[in-house]
Amino acid sequence: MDIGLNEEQELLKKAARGFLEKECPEEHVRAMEADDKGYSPQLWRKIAELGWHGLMIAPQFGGSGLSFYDLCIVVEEAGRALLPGPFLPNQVVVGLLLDAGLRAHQERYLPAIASGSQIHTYAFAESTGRWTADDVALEAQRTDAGIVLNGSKLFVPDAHVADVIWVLARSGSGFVAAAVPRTAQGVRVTPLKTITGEKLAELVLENVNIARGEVIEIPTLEAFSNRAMVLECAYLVGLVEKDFEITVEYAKQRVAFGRPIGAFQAIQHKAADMVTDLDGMRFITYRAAAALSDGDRSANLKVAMAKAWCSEASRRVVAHGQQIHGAIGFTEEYAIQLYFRRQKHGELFWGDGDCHRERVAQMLSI
Amino acid sequence: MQGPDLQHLTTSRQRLGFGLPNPRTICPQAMGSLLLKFDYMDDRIVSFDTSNAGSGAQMTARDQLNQFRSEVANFVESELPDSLRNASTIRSAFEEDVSADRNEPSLKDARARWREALRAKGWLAPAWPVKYGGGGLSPAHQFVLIDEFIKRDAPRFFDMGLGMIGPTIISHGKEEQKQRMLPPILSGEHEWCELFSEPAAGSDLAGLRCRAVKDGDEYVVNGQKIWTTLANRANWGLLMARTNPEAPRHLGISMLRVNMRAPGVTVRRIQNLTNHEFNEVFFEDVRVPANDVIGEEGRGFYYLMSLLDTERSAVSQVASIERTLESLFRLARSTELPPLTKAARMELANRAIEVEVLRGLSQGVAELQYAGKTPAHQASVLKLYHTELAQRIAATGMKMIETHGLLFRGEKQAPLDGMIAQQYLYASTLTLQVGTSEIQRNIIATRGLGLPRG
Repeated sequence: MDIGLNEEQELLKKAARGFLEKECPEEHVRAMEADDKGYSPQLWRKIAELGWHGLMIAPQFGGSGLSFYDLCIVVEEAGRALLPGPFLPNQVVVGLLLDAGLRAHQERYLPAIASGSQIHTYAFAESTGRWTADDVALEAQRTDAGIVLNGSKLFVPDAHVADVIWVLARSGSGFVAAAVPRTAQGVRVTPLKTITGEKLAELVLENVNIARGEVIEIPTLEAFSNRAMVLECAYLVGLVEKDFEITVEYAKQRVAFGRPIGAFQAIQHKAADMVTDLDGMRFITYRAAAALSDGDRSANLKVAMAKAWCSEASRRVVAHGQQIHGAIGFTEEYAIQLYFRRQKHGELFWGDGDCHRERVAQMLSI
Repeated sequence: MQGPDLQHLTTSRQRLGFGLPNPRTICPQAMGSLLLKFDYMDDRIVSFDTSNAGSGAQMTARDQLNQFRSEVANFVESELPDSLRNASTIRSAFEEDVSADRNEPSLKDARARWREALRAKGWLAPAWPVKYGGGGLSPAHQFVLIDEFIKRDAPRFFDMGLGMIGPTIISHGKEEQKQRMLPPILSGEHEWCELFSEPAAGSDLAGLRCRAVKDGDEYVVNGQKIWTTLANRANWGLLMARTNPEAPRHLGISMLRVNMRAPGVTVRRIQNLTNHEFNEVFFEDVRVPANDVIGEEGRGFYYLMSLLDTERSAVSQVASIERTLESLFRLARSTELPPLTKAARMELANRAIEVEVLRGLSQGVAELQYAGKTPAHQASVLKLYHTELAQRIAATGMKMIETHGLLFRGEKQAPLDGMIAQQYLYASTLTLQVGTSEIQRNIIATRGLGLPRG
């Protein structure tokens, strides 16, 4: 359904879709699942040439200066294509640098990100596997020169290929994000096997010294988390849309009892519920994205609502997708399983429905 | 703002797929997007994502809407009769029937004055074209209007004539019919009802049997209609009748205006679970002038489909669901109830999330209408989601008040004056009227997704 994109946003969306259909077909997604790096450096460079890495970055740092909302349009298309690799975490770091970074941080990192010559990621979650500020337990010890980090992080996206890992840690009453080079002394990255094909890692930090100039002070984690959550939602919107389209097409082709199964109301009503869930996902996501882009004070609530809804609606849609496909959906060979598995990442990463429903209840004081 | 690096920007725009920049739209701050975002909940403003807001000589859309908001606020301030200001209570948040306080004589005159003030301003029918006495307002302006009215507890008049029948006549009627039929809807002189369902034709409306037989320059109507809301009050009805039994089912049906006070019309009330004004209507040799066939003979079914799309996409319904939710929030925070169970609390949070989804779906339909497109399956998505959500909200309300949910309206121990229980009973009809949930799903699947008809 139409979310009221303007002419230029429509062009951006169309260009993104065209590019990804060509450069990120199903074979690429499958190849990257098996690939150790999990992304293609060649495609990463092409994306840089397109200007996506620098989409939100100001022109003086080599970017295009578009909004977070515009980024979500591209991320939705990335989800549709199941684009593998560190595109999202890299953008979460861009948001951090733009929002909370000092001029020096921006000058040092933004041009390298925009040009695609560096990959950045973040380390937020720990052993609880949860995504609230309370779950960030790692303490940054202050030293004369900066901070020292001792501890571990879990579910760090694409840490094994990142040049810089921004580690979120507690400090006093606030938080810090420390730029930790993956190759720094005391850093150990261990890839984790996942059911979704996403490359996640455990990060162990032993006496890792980070200079003061490499640390961003952030009083709360809200803005950082909000952006990461909405990007997961936007990716899910595209993913679910494609799952839904493949499923409807299948229902039109697959014949049983002498007619296409899509002629049966049992199937039609599932399809109608799928599109209702999908439309709802798209609107609630872009309303949250708009609130973030505009710095609206309702952003926290809208983001929590969006992630709660998208986490659960996306699961309902892909579950219907599997049911309508029948046994073929369980085969490795058929495409629908790629969406079914990858949905789970978007649902669980940055908090599932229960997590965000509780946050909504708290924010509404009910 | 520092001097824009236009050359660089142009290059990056081309990279992003925008092609050559359009000199009309390129503004230094990149996109300058005009993105409509309806927002009832927070700023209560229709906001526009204009990074260049205020920088141009031209008024931005955001400014225009803000100005309109002030205009509405001033109008309500100066025109709304005092006696109506405090008439709105918690009751109206759950009102399923806008006519409920019609009979209170003390308010009757004030309501008539307020209605006349709105009519004169064009806001009684905000969506109608100005030349037919409406406001000619865009959906965005309509949202602002509704929003300000709610905020100021100003009553709105939303009857079938204004909401459904007027727009149908405007879209499909002959010019002569528009001139004749629309003014009395605005003046309130003509109240309409919708004569669609029959005992043997509800969801399968194309199977209707009520006949209208041409006889000179009149039609003679015979048959029965049922589930007709407000037929007991209405003086005119919009009747679906078969004018050509030889034609294929859909093509033999016409839409007629029928005088409910004409000889041969009998209205009988149907008792129901709430005090909803529900009726069955019998027609026995009722004579209807031929020039009261709306539009063309034999096109009635198609006119009805567009009427139902309009009815399904009524944006004002979002506002009433928000009020219901608000009152449940207040109840949850009050000391009137013991603390909510964990399950009830999570259920209420879920309803809040779902209302946010409803706002988005409603926004989408409004934008389609704004772009001059007919929302077809999107209207059905909205109707399906809206009515099922209304039922869930009522059920959540019942869960919150536990055993007190058993108490009827008027019992003094009943929270919110028993309106939750009342709404719970009434909401069961929402997924039946204007096409059942099952019919909506059929429409979405076949008209929207192109799945083959079963």
